[in-house]
Amino acid sequence: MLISRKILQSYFDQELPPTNEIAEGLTMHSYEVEGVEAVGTDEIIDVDVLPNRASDSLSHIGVAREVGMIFDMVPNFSNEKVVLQEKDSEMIELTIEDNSAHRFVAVLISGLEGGETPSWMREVLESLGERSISPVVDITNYVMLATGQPLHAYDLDIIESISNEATLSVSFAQKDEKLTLLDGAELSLAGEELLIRTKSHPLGLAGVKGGLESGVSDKTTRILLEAATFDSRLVRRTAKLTKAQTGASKRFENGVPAEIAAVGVDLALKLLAEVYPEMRIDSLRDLYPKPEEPTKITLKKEHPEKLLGIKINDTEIKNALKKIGAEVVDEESYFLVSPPWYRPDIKLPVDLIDEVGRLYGLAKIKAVEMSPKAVTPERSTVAKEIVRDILVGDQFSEIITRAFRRKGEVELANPLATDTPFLRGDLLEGIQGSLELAAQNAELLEIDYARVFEIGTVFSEKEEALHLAIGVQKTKNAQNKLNLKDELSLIEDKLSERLSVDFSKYKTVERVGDTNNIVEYNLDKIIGEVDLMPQFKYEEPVFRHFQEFSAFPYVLRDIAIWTPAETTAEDIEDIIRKAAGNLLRVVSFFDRFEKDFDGIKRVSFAFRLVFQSFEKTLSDEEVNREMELISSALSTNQGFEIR
Amino acid sequence: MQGNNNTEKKDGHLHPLTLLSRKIVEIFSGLGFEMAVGPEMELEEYNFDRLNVPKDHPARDMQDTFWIKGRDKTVLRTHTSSVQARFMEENEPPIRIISVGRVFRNEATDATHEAQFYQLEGLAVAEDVTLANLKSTLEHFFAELFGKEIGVRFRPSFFPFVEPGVEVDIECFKCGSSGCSLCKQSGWIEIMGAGMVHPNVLEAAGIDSHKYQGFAFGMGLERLAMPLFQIPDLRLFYSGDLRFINQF
Repeated sequence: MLISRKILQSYFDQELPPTNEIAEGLTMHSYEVEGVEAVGTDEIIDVDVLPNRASDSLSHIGVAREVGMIFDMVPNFSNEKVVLQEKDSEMIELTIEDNSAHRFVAVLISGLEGGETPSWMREVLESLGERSISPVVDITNYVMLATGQPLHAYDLDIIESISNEATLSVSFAQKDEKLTLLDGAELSLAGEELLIRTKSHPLGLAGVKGGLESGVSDKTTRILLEAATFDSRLVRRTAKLTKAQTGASKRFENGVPAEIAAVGVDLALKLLAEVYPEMRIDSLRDLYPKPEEPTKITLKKEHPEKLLGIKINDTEIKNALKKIGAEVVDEESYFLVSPPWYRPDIKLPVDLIDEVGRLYGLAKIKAVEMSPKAVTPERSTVAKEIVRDILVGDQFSEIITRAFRRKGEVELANPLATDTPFLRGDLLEGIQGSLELAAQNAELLEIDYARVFEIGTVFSEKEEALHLAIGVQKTKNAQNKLNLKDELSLIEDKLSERLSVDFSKYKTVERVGDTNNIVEYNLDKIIGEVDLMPQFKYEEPVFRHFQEFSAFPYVLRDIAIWTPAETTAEDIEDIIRKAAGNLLRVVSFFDRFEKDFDGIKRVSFAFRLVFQSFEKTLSDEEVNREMELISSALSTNQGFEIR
Repeated sequence: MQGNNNTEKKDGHLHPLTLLSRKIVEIFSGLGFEMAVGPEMELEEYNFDRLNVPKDHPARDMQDTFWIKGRDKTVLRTHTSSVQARFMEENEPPIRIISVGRVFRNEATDATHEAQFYQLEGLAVAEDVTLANLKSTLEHFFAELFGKEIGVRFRPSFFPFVEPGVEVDIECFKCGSSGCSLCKQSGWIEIMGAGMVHPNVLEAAGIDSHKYQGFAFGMGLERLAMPLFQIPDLRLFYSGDLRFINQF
């Protein structure tokens, strides 16, 4: 919700604090402020009103009340309810179908000739991102932004030409009825939309948007002004079905107190009279079958202190409640509190304590320690950590992958992507993908075998279960030949031994592939079988910083060199790194042997070098240049000879 | 002598979210909080109804929540708060639990949004648990996590399952609250939602709200992990890419 400082200022006789202080005050006591922006001669505060405060605060008046409370300033408007005086109400008949609206006010107005939108109003509307359209439309828009009450103006001559009976109703659409909205959108209605209509003719979507046909134009001199309080769920449904979300629908969806209809009509009539001196109110009908009953809440005097954990005395509580506009009756041990009519969100004692707390200042609450309490480690958490430690100790890395799949037993009614509507029934795909990716990057990762595991939830028709999957894959980097099946059964033995449960009994999948082997276990069942859960000691984890890696392919080069006997691999690596530019990623030492040359011992070292750019795919020439730099740097050392 | 770097036994690597949740579990067990777990596929009742989320709340919409086809009123849990509802139903106060687990939201994936991510949830219920106790618990948690005192502040907020509801900010651990890109020059980082458990939530779990009260908090684990490990893109966590994992 955008708030204009100019409008806000108009509610106070004193000068308001600087806008950034207002923003800070609102943040700490009311609701989040997204930002403050200077627009023309105005400053606009972007307020993120919380859902519970939408009923009073999606309006400048609501925000002004907050600002007044925070900065101890008294707004110049009255917080009393407005009572509308009905006038010649027999001129129009209003009906509400099935409690779909709590209040329905219609005013028949004529004599709207020769007016213009006041320049101040045009200015604030524009700085709030609204286009000035015509005086009548501008006034209805302004009233909504000021009071929170959405209004709609119909061309009365057109309504009369459409329908002979002077009847307007809030009722549901009929299936396949047609309606063209003000913005030109042509709707074929589903039958569940809430409408404003004459008996035979839909005029607009209730609480969302008016229809094109009955909209006001520059020829309009008579209007029907509607101020209603529609059922929030029905407006939400209507806006959703018609994909037409508006400032009005947003307010109704969050619940607009029915009393605000009168405030809105009152202000609109005043503004219309200012703009159109000839304006006449021909009729005013206020259908308000069940006026909102004020609530009374019993707040025990010690309750705020007990919940918030702060020292706050009875006077402070009472003053805070009065500040929010509540009536407070002081009884012996409790306050009897009637929240103001514009705060229907306050229903329970804790709601009052919320008000007391935020006015006191939540930021001022001081920490109070709780007494110690003994803990029993949760079994599955401990088991998972033990499994992880064993696997990581044997070179396996832990992955976490997404749960959506092409196939499975459990399907989503509303998948994010249509090609993966199922939940995973096993962990294979994630392990497989990770192994293949790791194998492609074997030299960069300096691994000969890719080894990964995942502990994650899988879903079947019967149940969801925690599974463990372990996979190993040979890479082109591997010089020795391991039996993958043996590797996995060794791990299985270790896990079985540590938890004293035979893991092989709970194997759900075993996949022997061309390049990799994967096994999967039902970890839930295994944990269930653990008799005495071993202890797990948390080691202090290290939070290393992530280094971006390149998305481009890497290039390999091997280099071998004869050196004097005393040379170490570290010496050579050092020289290589210093000589190379920033394209060198990995220097991996893979071979060393000694040989006598006529009584002089020399040592041969072999390294594998990985080159990779962050910007592009490297060409052979580019890598060759790097290799030349490295070779010449090595050759300058006494007794070094590139092989 | 034949030397081969690659056959030396090297340890594998834990996922950074595991490293972080280990630390979290350790800190909170020192504060008397036990780990609690619950299902990822959850009944609407535990995910919404018992948490005082109104029947017509927009969060229940298809564009926010994944619903299971062919199963009545079943969702992928949208928060770990469902674990609270289950734990309170089965246990008597005093209660002190945390829960770390995967949650799901029906939203498109980008560098800072994921349809599946992890949450940390905390709950303490007793006769005398206060908002000031929550402050102490969180101050302790962040100090242990970052290895230094970190300022914690509460601001008004709203979540259906708590009242009062608060937004928890911590002093920017990167710039020490002098203002930087991480904290958008404000010196504070919005880190979690919290508050005092709503009486309706206690009553729905069969706990007498006149006798007992409590606090609850919840946060995205990745939101904490990203600055801690300096991970720029949320999607890396679920990439299964050892170029990522093996750095930790």
